[in-house]
Amino acid sequence: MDNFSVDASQLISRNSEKLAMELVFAEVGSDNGLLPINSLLAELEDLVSAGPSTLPAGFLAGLTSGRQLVDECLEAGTFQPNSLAALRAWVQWLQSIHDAITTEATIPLWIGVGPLSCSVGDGSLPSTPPSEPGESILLNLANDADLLKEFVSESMEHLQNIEAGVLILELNPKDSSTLASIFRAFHTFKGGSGFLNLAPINQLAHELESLLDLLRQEKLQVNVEIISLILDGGDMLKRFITAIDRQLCSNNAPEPIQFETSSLKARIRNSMAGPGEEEFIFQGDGSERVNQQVKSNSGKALHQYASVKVPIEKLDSLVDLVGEMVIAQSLVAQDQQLKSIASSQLTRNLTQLSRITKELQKTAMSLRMVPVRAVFQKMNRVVRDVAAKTGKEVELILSGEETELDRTIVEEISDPLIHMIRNSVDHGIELPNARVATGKNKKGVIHLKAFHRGGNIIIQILDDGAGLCKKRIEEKAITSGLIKPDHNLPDKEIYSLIFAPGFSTAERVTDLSGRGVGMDVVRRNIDKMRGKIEISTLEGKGTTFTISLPLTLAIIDGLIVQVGHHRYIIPTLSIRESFRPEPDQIFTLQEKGEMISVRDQIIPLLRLSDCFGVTTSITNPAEAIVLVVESSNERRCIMVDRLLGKQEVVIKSLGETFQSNDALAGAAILGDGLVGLIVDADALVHLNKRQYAHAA
Amino acid sequence: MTNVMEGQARSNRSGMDKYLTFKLGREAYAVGVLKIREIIRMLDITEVPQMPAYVKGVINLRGKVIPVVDLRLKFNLTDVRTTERTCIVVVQADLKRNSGSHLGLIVDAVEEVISIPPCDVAPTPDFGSAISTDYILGMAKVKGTVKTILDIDKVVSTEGLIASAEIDS
Repeated sequence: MDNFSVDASQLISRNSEKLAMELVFAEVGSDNGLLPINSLLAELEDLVSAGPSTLPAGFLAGLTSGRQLVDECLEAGTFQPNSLAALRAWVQWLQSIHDAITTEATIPLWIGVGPLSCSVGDGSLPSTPPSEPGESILLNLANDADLLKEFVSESMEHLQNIEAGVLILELNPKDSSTLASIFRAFHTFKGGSGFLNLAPINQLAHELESLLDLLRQEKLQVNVEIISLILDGGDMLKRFITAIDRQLCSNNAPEPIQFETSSLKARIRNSMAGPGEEEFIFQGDGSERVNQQVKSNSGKALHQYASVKVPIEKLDSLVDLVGEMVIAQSLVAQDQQLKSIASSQLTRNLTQLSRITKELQKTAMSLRMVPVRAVFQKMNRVVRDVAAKTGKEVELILSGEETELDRTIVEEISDPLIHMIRNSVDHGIELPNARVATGKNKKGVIHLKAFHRGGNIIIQILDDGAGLCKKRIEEKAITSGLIKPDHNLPDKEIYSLIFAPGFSTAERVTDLSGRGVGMDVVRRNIDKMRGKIEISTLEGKGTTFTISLPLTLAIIDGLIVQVGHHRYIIPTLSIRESFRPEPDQIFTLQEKGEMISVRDQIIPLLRLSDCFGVTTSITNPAEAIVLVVESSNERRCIMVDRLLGKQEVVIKSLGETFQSNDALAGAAILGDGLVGLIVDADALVHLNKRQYAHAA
Repeated sequence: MTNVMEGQARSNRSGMDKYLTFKLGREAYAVGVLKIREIIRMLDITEVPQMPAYVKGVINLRGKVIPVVDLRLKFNLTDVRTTERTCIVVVQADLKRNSGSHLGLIVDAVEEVISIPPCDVAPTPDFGSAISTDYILGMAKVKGTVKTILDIDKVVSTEGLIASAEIDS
C-alpha cells in the first residue's frame, strides 16, 4: 500500500468520519443529511477519477456499492430502512479502510449486508419503488422553489459541460476523462431530479447515464449516432430545465411540464442493446482499467476557480455605492478650505485615499466581468450543426476565450454571434468541392477571436471562405432601391449595405439563413450595446467581421454640454465630430428646416433647446457648437450652447417615472453631486425623423 | 417569545395609524408614516424635459437618482414659492410595475407626526367631477382642524404621470 497517496488516505478518513456523523442523524423516511452524504460521496468519487490509479480494487468496488446505496435513497427522496442500515455498515467499512492503510494491512473487501450485497442486479432488494413514474412534471413551487432554483442553475452548468465535452469527444472519442465528466454530469442530473421528484428528467438522465457508463467501460464505442444521442439528450434536458426556470420566474400557478422523451429513451436503449443487458461491475477489472486511463487532471478543470454566487442586485448596489464614493472623494480632494491647509500629512492622506478609491472602483467594476468563454463555446455547436446541414467541412478555432466582458454584454452578444457564425458557415465557407477547385484546403476555417484594443473589447470573426461579392451586393441594392445605379460609394460602404433591413444576396432561402433578417438585427443589437461592427473582405479569400464593444455598460464616456442653464451628457461614442459652424455652412429650407454642410455632406440641424423645450440666449448656430451624431447610418447635427468637458459617468436608470421620455438614456451624478441627464443620441436622430414625417 | 410578538404587533398597529402631516399653502395633509423614508432640505433639482410641470425633475439621493414631484403644482395650488421651510419628503411609493421606488415630494412645511385613530377619519366627501378624489384615503379631524390623508401610491402613480404628460403635450 506504499503507493497509496497520503492525501487520498486522509480524505478517505476525513470523509468517512463526516459520513458517519451525518448518518447518526439520518432517519428512515426523512431526507435529513441525504444531500451532504451525496456530496461527501461525490468527493470520494472525484478522488478516484482524479487521483493516480493506485487505489486498490477493493476500494473501488466498495465505493461503487456505496454510490448505489445512496442513489437508492436519492431516488426515493428519503432514507429507506434497508439502505440506511446498509449505508451505516458501509461507512464502518470505509472507516476500517483507513485503519488498514495506516497499519499497511490488506484492505478489507466490502461484503455488503444481507441480501442487499447482491445489489440491484438480482432484484432481491426489498423494493422501494419511486413513486409511479409520470410523464409530466408538476412543480411544487411552494416548498421546493429554492431547491429548484439551485437545481436549475447547477443544471445549466452541467449542460454546458456536457456540450463542451461532446465536442472534445468528437475529436478524441477515447478521451476517458471527458467521458467520465459527462457521465458525472448526467449522474448529478439523475440524483438531483430524483430528489426533487422530477420523474421524466430522472428517467432520461438515468438512460443517458447508463449509456455513458457503457462508453466509459469501453463496452460501446463512441460514434456519430452516440454523439448525437448525447447532444439530443442534453437538449431535451435543457428544454425541461428552461421550462422549470420559466415557471420559477413567473408567478402563475405551475402547469405540468411535458416533453416527449420516450422515443429518445428508446433510441438510447437501442444503442445500448449491442453489448447486452446492463450489468453492474462489482469487483471486475473493468472499472479499474478505466480509472487507470483517467488523467490526473481530470475533474479538476471543472472546479478550477473557487467562487461565490452573489445576487446581481447586490453587485449593482455595490458598484453604485463605489461610484458615489469616488464622487465624494473628488469633492473632498477639491475642497478649497482643505486645500488652504498646507499640511503635507493631509496631502499624503488625501493622495492615499484617492489611490484606494480608484483601486476599489476598478475592483468593483471587475466583479461584473465574466469571460466570453461560455458564449464562444456555444459556437462550436452552431458550426457543427450548420456544417452538417449544408454538407460543408468547417473547423472553428477559438482564441481569447478568457477575455472578460461585462456580464450583460456577454448575454447580449450571444444571439448576434450565432447569426454571424451561421452566416459565415452557410454563405462564407464554400462546399468542399468548390474549395478544392480554388486550391484551398477542403476544410474551411473560421476563427473566432476576442481581445482588448484601446478601451474596447474586440470580437473578430474571420473565415477563409468566398468573401463578399461586391457586384452582387451592388446589384441587389440597386434592384431593391437602396442605392442609385450611378452611385459612387466607397467599397466599405457597399459592404456595409448587408446590414440594411431585408437585405440578402443568398440565392436560395434555407432554414439557416438567407431570409435577409439577420444582419440588420445583428447591427441593431450591437448598436444597442453601444458597439460598432465593421467588415473587411477579399473576394475569394474570406471575410472578417470586427465588432468592437465597450468594456462595460455601466460606465460611459460622455461629453457634457450646456444648453441654457441645463447640462446634458451625450455619449462620446455616438459623436462623430464637434465644431462651430461658419455662417456660410448653414442653409435653411423654407426658412424652417436648417441644414449644415459638413465637407459637402448636407446634414439636418437639430436644436437641443427645441427638442427639450428649454430656453437659451444663443439662437444663432454660428455662435453655438454643433455636434455631428450618427445612428444607423443617419447623421444629425445637434446644436448646443457650449461644451463643458468630458467625463466618465456611471449610468443610472431614471426609473419608470420617466420611461415615456425616450430622448433620455438615463442619468448620472456629475462631479459636483448634481444629476446630469444622458441624451440618447439614437433616439434624437429618429425623433427628428418623426417630427419631419409629422410635419410632412 | 409571545411578548415580543405582541410587542411587534402593537408597534405595527400604532405605526399604522401614525401620520406625518405637512402644509401645502394653507391646507394640511397627512401621509402614513410607514411610507416616509426621510425628509431632506430643498436642494438643486435637475429638470427633466418633456414632463408635466409638477414633475420638477430628479435629485441625487446618496447616489440614487430619484424623481421629485411638486405636490403644490400637482394639486394646482397657486403659491409655489420656495422658503426656508420648504423641503422634500422622500417616500417609498409602490408603483405598479416596480414596487418600492423612492420618490421626493416638495411640500411647504413639515409639521409633526401624529396618531390618527381610524374612528377620527371620515370618508372623503363627494365633490362631483370638480376635484379628483381617487388619491384621498379620507379626511382626518385633528384638534379641530381637518387634514387630508393622501394615498401616496395613487398620487404619484406612473399612469397618472404619463396621462398628464399626454394632456400637457
